[in-house]
Amino acid sequence: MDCALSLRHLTSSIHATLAALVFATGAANAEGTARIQQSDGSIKVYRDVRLVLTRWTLWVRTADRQGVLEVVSQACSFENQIQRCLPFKLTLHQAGKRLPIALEYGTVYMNFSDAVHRLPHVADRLGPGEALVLLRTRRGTYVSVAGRLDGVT
Amino acid sequence: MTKQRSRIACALALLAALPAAAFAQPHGGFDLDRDVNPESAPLREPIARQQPAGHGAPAVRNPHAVRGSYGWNNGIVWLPSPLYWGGGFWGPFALAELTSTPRFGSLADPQGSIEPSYQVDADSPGAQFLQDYGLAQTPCGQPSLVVIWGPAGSAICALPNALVAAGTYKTDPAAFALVLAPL
Repeated sequence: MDCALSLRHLTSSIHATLAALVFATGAANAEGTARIQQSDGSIKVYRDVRLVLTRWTLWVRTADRQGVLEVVSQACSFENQIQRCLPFKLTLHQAGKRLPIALEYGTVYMNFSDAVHRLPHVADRLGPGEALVLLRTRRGTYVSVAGRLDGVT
Repeated sequence: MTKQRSRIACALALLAALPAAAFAQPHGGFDLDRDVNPESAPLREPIARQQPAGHGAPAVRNPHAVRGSYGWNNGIVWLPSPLYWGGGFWGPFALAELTSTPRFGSLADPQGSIEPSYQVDADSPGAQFLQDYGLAQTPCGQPSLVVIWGPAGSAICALPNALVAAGTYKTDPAAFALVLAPL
């Protein structure tokens, strides 16, 4: 195994460990729902996903704990008490691997206030401690996640 | 931005309206096999463009900025997001979709390259920035304008007013201020 390969393996392991650690604490009261719509129109719904925010990164874990989506954002600003961030990096941690996904664009909304607020541009509302993630990958897959944040670190 | 609103509305409608029970609950993590295919196109790297220097140059104080570093953003550091024009400062303009976004004039950067400009999104930090200075955006390319170089090599133009004279400036996101940046 050459040095580059070892380093890549180590980096991958560190990320997998970090992903596991992020979800190691806190009560298991996940209420989020994730929907993935492939470019061919097929849709899969994932209930009871767990959402944890660590600084600029939102981690979304499936109920069976087999998959974790890592969504890294920047350009966070506030609008009507809703924080809107623009994601630029999407990684799937699954089957012991760290799998980068090419992201086209997206938006992450979070409500850190104590009140319900309307989302910018649309009639929908976001309750206290709730998050909404809307992503489109370069392969044309739409990923949406909605639910309460189970942890903010 | 109409396109952004439409995208959000569609995604939300999808979230709300789909009969979830109609779909089998998948097992074994997320099904994103097509997206993690190693043959996927690599991530689009942001284009690094040189901006006017402006270090130590005089700033035009923002008359409405909240005190403190990033006070305008509740004290949260604002950093550009690489997949968006201007890092997202002027709105959520995805670089991947810029070719279908109408231009709002263009101008030459310090290296002589022609840079397109776009209309600032009304709900963006950039729109608040312009509003603080009482500036009205106008298409770039005309003489005697306020030219503002924003994050990630982006630029917009505005009509001069009593507070901001025609010239070239750059943004200071921390202070939410204009800094004079002569070419």
